[in-house]
Amino acid sequence: MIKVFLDSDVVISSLVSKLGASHQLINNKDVVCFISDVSYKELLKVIKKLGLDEKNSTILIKSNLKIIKLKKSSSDFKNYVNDVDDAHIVAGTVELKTNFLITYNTKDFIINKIKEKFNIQIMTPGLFLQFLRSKK
Amino acid sequence: MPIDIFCGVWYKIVMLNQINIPKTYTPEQVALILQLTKNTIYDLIDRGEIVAKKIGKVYRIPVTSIYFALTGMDYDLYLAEKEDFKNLDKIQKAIKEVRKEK
Repeated sequence: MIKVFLDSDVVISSLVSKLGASHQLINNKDVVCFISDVSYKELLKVIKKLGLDEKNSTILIKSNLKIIKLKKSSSDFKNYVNDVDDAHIVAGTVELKTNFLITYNTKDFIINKIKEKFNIQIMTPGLFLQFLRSKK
Repeated sequence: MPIDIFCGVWYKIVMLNQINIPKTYTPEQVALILQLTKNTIYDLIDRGEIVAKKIGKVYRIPVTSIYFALTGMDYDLYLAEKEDFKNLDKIQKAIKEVRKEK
């Protein structure tokens, strides 16, 4: 089983469409998907803002994702992102000790620096699923 | 008269583009694109790893069979990401707004 940390855009995309790559990723049996407690709180607000079914979305998140508690301070990771508000995503990925951060927002992460310092690969859901295929 | 022929060909090209007929490649072209030998391409066709259509004695390979070379993903995964892209702007905007609220 491979552990991956998900950015919120991937989680919301998986709730919006069952045909998308995000939904495929979250339901892939070879992968365990994680978010942080900070991301979880953020997701609840985004779900409300987008008018998604709050009850169903919460059930889907809790049944498909594991939630880790963020112990590290997000501000420690501000130098690895172009927008400081995204720093908690890097913090969560480092906390999880995984090599994979899955996001559609690749432009806001300083990919080379994150790879160099933490050995974390940043990929979109489709590319990660392609990577899984290449391992079979 | 040559201008008429040119116009006719041009018109057909425009029409073909408009009805979005998928492009096809020869095994030789695919070998060049994927940087493999022609024989490897024929082996991959035999094993079903590259889907091709046999027309008479020759093969034609649809662009969907070599999407990996163009996008880094198989065609089905490319379509799955495209499905996510439909709502992505709206989703990312909402996330940015929530993150700014903190």
